[in-house]
Amino acid sequence: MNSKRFSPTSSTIKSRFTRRFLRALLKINRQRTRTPSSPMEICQRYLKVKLAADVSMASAVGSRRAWSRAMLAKIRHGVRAGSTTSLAMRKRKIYHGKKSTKEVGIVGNAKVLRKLVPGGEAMDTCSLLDETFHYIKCLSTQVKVMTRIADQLCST
Amino acid sequence: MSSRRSHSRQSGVSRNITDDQITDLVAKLQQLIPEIRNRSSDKVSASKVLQETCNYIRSLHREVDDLSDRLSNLLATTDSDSAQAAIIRSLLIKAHPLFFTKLCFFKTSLKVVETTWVRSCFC
Repeated sequence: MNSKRFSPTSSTIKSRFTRRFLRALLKINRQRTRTPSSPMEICQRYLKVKLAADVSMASAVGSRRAWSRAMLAKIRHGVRAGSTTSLAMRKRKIYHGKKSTKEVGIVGNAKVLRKLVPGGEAMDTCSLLDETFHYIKCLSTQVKVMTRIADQLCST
Repeated sequence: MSSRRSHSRQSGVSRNITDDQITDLVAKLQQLIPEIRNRSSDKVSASKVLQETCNYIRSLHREVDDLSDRLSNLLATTDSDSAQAAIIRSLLIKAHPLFFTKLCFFKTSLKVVETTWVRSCFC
């Protein structure tokens, strides 16, 4: 009974994400150079932190959800292709987003949603809405945890 | 001919089931999105819910981008050792609050054992 009391409680997605993300931040912090950072290094570090956040969240969810599987596959593919394409891809995403807001109705909005949710293009409408619900919950957890970590680092 | 009729009947039935499921899921999403939840309890159309969902996801993505930027700047500006210490502290407290208490207890008892051993060596 004592061991049950002191063993870690059933790990939630939040705690798994927090652990993985903090470990990734430790790694990124160790790679820091002593010389002042160049703009390229600053950009690289920002991308590493963002990637760490996405990877930690997707692997905390695991393969239970289609969106996390799609995100992990995309990241693996992106790592092999090279991280320099990520900025260009993000700019392309923003441009497409602006263009497609002109479409109205359920079908139009579902189309936009498919582009926003990882792996959305391969899903039917029902699964898309279900995955969207879970994706939004995980994203808001991610934001809360990252805010707390940033506040903690600020206060030191 | 009859197969075609039965197929159309089947597709009609399956469409109804899908519509109900979609309505339920849209209602679930409605509860999640703060924009819609904070408004009055008027019925919101499905397309409006989807539109607000897209906007909410985009705003969450922007928040994650901003937080990543903030964290990378914090890592750059704070001293390496204190950043490391703060991160490790967070890791221990947030991930395993009971473990942290155990670790403190263990560290204290380890110090006692260490001092006793050192004393025994030199006495």
